[in-house]
Amino acid sequence: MSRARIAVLQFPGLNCERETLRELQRSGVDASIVRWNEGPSRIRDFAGFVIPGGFSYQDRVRAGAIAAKSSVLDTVVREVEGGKPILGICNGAQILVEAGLVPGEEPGRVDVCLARNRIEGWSGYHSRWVFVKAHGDGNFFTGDLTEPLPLVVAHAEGRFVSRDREAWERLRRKGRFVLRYCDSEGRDPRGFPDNPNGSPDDVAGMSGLDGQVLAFMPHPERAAHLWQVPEDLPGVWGERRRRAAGDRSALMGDGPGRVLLRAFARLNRGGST
Amino acid sequence: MSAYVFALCHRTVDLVAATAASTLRDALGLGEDLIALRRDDLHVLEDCRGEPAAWAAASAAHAAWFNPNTHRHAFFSAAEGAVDAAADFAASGRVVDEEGIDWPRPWLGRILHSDRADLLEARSAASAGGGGAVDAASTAGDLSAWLALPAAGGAFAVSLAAFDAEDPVYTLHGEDWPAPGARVLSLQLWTLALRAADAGQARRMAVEVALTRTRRRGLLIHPQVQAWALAAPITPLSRESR
Repeated sequence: MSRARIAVLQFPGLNCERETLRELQRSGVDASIVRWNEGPSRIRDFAGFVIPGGFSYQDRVRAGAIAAKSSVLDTVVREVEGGKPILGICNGAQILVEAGLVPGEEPGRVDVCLARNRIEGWSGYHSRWVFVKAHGDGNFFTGDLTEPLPLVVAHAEGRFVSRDREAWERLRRKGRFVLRYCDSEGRDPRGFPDNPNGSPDDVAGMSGLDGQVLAFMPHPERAAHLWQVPEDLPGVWGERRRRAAGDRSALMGDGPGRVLLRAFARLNRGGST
Repeated sequence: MSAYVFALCHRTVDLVAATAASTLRDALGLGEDLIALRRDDLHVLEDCRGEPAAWAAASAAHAAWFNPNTHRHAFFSAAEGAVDAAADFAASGRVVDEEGIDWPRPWLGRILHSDRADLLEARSAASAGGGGAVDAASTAGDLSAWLALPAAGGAFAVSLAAFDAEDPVYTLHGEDWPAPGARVLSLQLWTLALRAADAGQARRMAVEVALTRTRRRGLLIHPQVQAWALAAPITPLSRESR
């Protein structure tokens, strides 16, 4: 059976499309970069989508807001509502939230915002290694996640919020908070720095529609190889990295981000999982 | 103690407003009914000592809020209590009101200082000893002069203020401000020049395209994180009424 084709959607101002493409391909995924202006027929060719990180449209008005209104999203939304999976990484996550695909309780309704980081003493851009773990029964993206994953966050607006507390509770009960920040042992975080942006319920990734949509703030493509994991990182992955020191083959092996990216390799052409 | 509104805009094309305008026209259906879109940064300063000119100089020296090479600025008088009123307003959570909610007003008064000489000359010609009184008429007049929207028959200017709903008010730190410890409310003022049958329709159109509710409804303000209000009287833009 031929491999499913995945589109890495590029909007003006995104800047992680090359490494995202490369690491998807190294994960066994047949992926291509598709630019925002290539037309709907090209979009429909693909079995799934990734929107990478960066600063689409220079973050004008709000991060992700302009890209979410673009005509290419009309086609993408239709395809995703038909069951195709889509992963938004960082700015890609902001686009999915602004497009109403996450949480997607009602088609297109924007119920959540990725707001400015809120950390004791300051707010704004922050970059660091964090740990995330899967919650719930697992979906297309999180089914293979069994241990805390160390990944990099690099954002100024990564705090999932809704002013409607009842709506937030409904999202929690429905298991939308599929990836949460944790400490290196997988325990609930005790504030910053485990939770790097003040996201309530420590939400790092929120799912949408029937679970085929994931808005995820950390960057899996920056931790796809073991050599990318810092040697002094605590936890299982830090230990693996220390054991691999000096062993080129082991260092080039899978890093924690690979686990997420490989989800797309399970797709068959046509979008079934 | 005084209260000021420190207004800032770009000297040249504001790329954020230009991108937002083309999105409103092309993706959200406003088309030619949107004549112009303008974005201003406004900082409401309370518990202030010092003259506006000293504040402008301190702000430029700090590289805080604006760069005089790229921005124009003006100081308006402000009503005492405007910052608290805004914080109360944000805390009330009344943010998703289809009709919009008027800002606790009057809050923005007459122009006191600016790097635009034409505004100061117009103000001194218009006021013969009026001081800095804050009233609805001065809000409409001096704000309109600052915004300088193009004249257009059958069009209205609608100004919507948006600010952080969670922590709207902060305190200035640093000894070299004219009044360290002054409280600040920073907001964005979106002004839409809209072709409409009347002021009511203009208001409804502005709220519709400003408040983000779905992928195809709203762009400028996100009610999940921002409080917002109609910030000034809706003013006609016809040449005769100006």
